[in-house]
Amino acid sequence: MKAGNDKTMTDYQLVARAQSGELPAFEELVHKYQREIYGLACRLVSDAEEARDLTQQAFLQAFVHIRSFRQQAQFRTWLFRIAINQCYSYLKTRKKFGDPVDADEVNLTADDSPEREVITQEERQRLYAALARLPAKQRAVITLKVERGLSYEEISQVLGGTAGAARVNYCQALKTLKKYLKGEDDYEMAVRTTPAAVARIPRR
Amino acid sequence: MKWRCALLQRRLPEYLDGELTGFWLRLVKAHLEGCPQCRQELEALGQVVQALKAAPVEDPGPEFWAQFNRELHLKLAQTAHQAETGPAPQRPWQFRIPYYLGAPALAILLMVVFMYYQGTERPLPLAPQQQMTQAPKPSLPATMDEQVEESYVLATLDDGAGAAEMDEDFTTLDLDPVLAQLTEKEREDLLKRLRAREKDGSCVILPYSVS
Repeated sequence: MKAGNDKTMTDYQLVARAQSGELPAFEELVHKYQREIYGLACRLVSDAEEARDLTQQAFLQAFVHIRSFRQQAQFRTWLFRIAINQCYSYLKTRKKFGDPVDADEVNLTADDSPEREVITQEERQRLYAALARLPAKQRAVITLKVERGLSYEEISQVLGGTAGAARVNYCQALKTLKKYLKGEDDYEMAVRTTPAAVARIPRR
Repeated sequence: MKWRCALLQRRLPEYLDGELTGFWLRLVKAHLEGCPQCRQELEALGQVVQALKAAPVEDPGPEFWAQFNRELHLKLAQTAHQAETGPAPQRPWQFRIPYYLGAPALAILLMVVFMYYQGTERPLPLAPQQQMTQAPKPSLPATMDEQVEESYVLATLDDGAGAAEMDEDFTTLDLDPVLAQLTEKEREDLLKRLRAREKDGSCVILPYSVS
């Protein structure tokens, strides 16, 4: 295919050209998927600046290892997998060295969003805070399913495991998120017995 | 919560997405008609999904992407340049023996070990009694005439009961020196027991010289 028809080229052709060393073909793939990868990274790390760096890292890794991609899976899911691995590494480092992200500081949506009437800023903050409390894998599942529209089979290709496991994970993630949004966990925390309360119970 | 509700609530996200078909779709639909608790759960899950869809990550704008692409282009060009000009990395595994040669090598090794042990296999050490009587020719005489001087009792103790009855090991016993040491009564008793076992078929008494 000629260079003039690049816009109509499929992922398969672009990847094949990128594998032969053509940088413009890979950059075409970058333009195609950068928003999706950035959105995924934003959801996973809850930090816009880090998400930008992680997105660049993911594309660099993809470029370095593009020759090992055998086109058995979709390029998109392969890219998601690389990005999620980058995010997991970052989250692990952050957990180790400590860099808590305040949910109030996370502002990933512009104020002039058309969804403003539907969902208020306060609700959005609650949603982000609830998402940030989810385990990383559940956050990834929920983002891939709801925002990226991947099937359970594709999610299993990205995250590993089976399609059934992805389904169960998604279901669990939705339930947990619902619980966090409704504040049911606060109620559970209140009724949960504390060690001090247990100590006051007389033993027989 | 009933067990049926717990079971079907696991399918509610799929029901929301319209991915349920066939048996599960009919089951969930029928259950939802009669269970207000599950309908409430479905509604709550739907609200969560709607909230997620209504709050997507906003596009940061063209300036952000222009800057992003400039930086990424530089990094990609640098990586490509290093890949072209830099020495080709020689990975150590390229010089190793391919893993699939391991199986034949192991088979050859096992064969050599097996042949070594087959070739150097020695007979088990004989009992001192047998060594004395069996040397120098351990084989049985070919005809009955040749076994006047030496005689053997070959006994096969094939069951535990027989072994319990027989105190001595008669499997390779030279009967002549044994009989010679016994009194007449003991000799008759031993021979009687041996004959009884011969009738069972558990031993064979070859002719012996001492009468």
